[in-house]
Amino acid sequence: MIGIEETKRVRINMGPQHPATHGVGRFILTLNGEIIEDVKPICGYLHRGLEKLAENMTYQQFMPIVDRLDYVASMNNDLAYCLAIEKLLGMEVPERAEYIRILIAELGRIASHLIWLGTMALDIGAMTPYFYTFRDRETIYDMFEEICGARLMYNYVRMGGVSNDITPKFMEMLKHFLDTFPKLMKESDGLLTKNRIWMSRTKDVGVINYDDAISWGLSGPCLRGSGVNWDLRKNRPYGIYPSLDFDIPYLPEGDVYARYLVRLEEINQSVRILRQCVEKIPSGGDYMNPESPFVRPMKKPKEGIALKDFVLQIRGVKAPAGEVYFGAENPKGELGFYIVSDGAGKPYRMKIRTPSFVHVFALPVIVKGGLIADIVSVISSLDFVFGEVDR
Amino acid sequence: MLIYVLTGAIKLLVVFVLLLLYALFMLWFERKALGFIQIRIGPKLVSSGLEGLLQPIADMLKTLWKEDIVPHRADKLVFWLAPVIGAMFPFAAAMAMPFGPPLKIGGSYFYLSVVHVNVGILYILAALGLTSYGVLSAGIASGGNKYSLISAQREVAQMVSYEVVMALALLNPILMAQSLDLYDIVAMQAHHLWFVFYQPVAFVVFLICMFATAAIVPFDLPEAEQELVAGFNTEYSAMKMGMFPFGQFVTILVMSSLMVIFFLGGWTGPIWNGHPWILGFIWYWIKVFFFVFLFIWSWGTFPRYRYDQLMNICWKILLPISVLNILWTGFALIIHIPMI
Amino acid sequence: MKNDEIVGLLKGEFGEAVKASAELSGDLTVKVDLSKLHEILQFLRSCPSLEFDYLPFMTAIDYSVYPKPKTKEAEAKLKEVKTKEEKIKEDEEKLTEAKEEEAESLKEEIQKLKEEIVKAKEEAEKLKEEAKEEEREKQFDVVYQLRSIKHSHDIRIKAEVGEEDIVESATDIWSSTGCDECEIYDMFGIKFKNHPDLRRILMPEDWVGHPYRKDYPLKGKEGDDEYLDTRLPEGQLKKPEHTRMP
Repeated sequence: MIGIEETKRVRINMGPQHPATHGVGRFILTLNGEIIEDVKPICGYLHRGLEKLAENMTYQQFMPIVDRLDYVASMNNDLAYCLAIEKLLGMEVPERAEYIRILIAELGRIASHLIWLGTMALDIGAMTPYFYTFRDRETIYDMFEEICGARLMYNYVRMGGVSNDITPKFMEMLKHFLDTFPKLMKESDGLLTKNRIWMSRTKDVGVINYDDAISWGLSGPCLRGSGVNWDLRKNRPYGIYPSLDFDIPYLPEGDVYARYLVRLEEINQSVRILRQCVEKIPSGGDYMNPESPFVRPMKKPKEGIALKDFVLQIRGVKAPAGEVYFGAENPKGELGFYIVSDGAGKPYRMKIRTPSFVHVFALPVIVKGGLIADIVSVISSLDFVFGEVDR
Repeated sequence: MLIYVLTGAIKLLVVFVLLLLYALFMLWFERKALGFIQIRIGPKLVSSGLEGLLQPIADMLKTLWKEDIVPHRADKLVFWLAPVIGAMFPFAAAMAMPFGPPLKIGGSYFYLSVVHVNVGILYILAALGLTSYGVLSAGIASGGNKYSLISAQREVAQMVSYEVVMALALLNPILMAQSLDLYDIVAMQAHHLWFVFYQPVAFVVFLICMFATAAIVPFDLPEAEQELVAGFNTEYSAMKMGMFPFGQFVTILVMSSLMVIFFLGGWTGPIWNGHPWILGFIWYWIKVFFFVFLFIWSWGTFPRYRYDQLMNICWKILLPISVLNILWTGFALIIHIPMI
Repeated sequence: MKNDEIVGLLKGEFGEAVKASAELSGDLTVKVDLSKLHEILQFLRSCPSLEFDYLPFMTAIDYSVYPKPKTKEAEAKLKEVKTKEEKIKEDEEKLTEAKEEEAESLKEEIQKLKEEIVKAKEEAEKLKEEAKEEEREKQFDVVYQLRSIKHSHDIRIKAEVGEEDIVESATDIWSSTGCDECEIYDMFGIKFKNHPDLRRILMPEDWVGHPYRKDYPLKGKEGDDEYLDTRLPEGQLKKPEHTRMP
């Protein structure tokens, strides 16, 4: 007798080396044919123990490491960290520095979204937008190179301001970018947004509804893609965002296409913010708070300068005992720093709340019941970076 | 008798070499055209005067020298055979493909294809259908690699569904020409309008099937790189891996020539029809290479369909449409609607 | 809702389980009792005027080496008293041998010292009582940062947790705590019950020790390199000698 065997589920190990997992992501898929029945995310391949490192470093020593969190939007990471420290210490930032910060943060947001757009198109099979977006990102990185010399890990924002003033050449480049970029953006927009294949691949795929999106802790464009009107720039305003005029795009569908449209609109809004900043930025003034305790004393007294410098380097700046949480709206979502200080120059405990970490573990709910091809588009629409997930 | 064998052998050799050269040229052309679309430069350094025209030769030499890795758990014979099948059957299909209008020498015709059979289209479809066995056996022989397996499964499903629709789409011109001979079908179009004007629906259906059978971008599911790593290619290396694109390029050529012969009048042109012979030849290859370029163009433009959508398009849209279309064609032929 | 209103509501509902509340740069922190933790969280989520529906993060803190300045001060005071008592003894010894003129000044000195000792003891006891606030029974704190998207207010809930305690998982209230609880379990060794899939997510599953604890060495434990050697895939080279832990 030949019995019919029970249908077996196929288990596929996706990653940690796989073209669509955006880094070292690993997912164990349980498949029924091509339908996904279960996803188990496994992370830790890029675990560096940043939180433990932070406990053993002074506040300013940890600065460069923050860049390594979300390595496609390092400027925004710097900004979030500095704002958290400034909240802990109650520091002031000069007006020009505030404008410079917004400029680079929004440029960083555009750069990050461009990478997302390119890789998402590539993941869904359209090769060409990848090159268009990387061309535009290149001009942004050239601008960053002009202001701080680095192209990927900037370490530019500092506690109390920024590390150096922006140059007239940067402003010229920025104006040129703002003139040309919206037109260039239309190329990839035209290739994808109204494309039937693109729409059929993204619409009604990876749906997460309003309540689930909140309960699973999604943040940033993913949360807004589910119809939640929540943006920390508006709801927990920081810097000079309240004085700027911009909209928060949000769509109720909660599918991949909604997240896609939200991010595209966010790029447009960032351009709008940048235009306002270019107009409003004060032409002179400090780019760094001179009374910031992190600044090396510039006026040279007769003695003790070497000692003061030494103390700043070794012991750090003593923060008041207490604890503080600050979340900033990063391109990927809410990047927050929870700092517990015991009154010493080092944080007693630092928890880094990263959006990608939460998104990875929300993936099984979003993708369940879809096809293999869907997990790829959902992964790219959630847009996570494994530097952030594993920390 | 001897002269038949001799001409046959010479034709075979010439076509084989031409196809190899074409595949190499395609490799270069593909990269250049994609580069143009994607604001890149494409190959340039090898033979810098010729815009990197010799790059494919360098690439081929490189692949020949690469280490050939066979997975431990692979079925060695099938694993070795798969790329051969994948590359051989498109070549076999190309044997019946016309390379230009027939030459009139004296009273008899000299046909520019290796074999001229009066059921040429059946032979070509059969040979192309067998190509999928290459992918299938590659997927199964890859030692239990699940990505390869899923890819093979997709390829077979895709091939089976689209073969049907493609045959149905080609049936319309065949019915109208009342011949399975490719040369007759072109001859029919020389006296009338091209079949694309009589059969616009079949033309569109065949256009879609063309991309699906060649597995080019909106339908390149078997080697969907972002989902299945490289699909059936995953475990392959060196020249074995290079064989698959070779076969794919030849499939593209055969499909394009079928398209031109069946719907766009083969070597007949809109003007200066037929005379002299060389004009027909030029018309033919312009049309064929337009479609070859169309493949690359779509490669650089479209995203990829999903597996279920691909099946839906085939079985829920294309199949009913083409069946209805055949019914209409048959009806029109019975009541003798005159052809222009 | 304003911060004090939230605290008032919580205290009214749970009484003594809400231990303390503090504010620092606008952040409201409420300390609660572990036994009532899950109930309080549920209340925070479901109470219509609070409705904390969003959980940005959840974490734990190891307080084992947190500095205790007041206890230190008290100890310093007690030390002072001791040194002074010793000095009195010395003086008394001198007194037996000394002449009359010196004896009087010594007596005065002893009197002074005795008065000082009494004062210092009083102060030390005061400090000790104050330092009791700093004393902790348990090693860890579990921290929940909550946010209401509807009402746009935040709160932070803390509860003391010992190594032995098992915390009730909050995954039934906020799904996003799932990964955070895994991380806490991985990094601090705090266990959660009713968690759907509690596993080590960042460290290997058979790793010994919990890296974010304060007693875990920054550069790793001694056996780590040997452990990694056993995990290497076949044919891969081992870590060279000069990069290994001493």
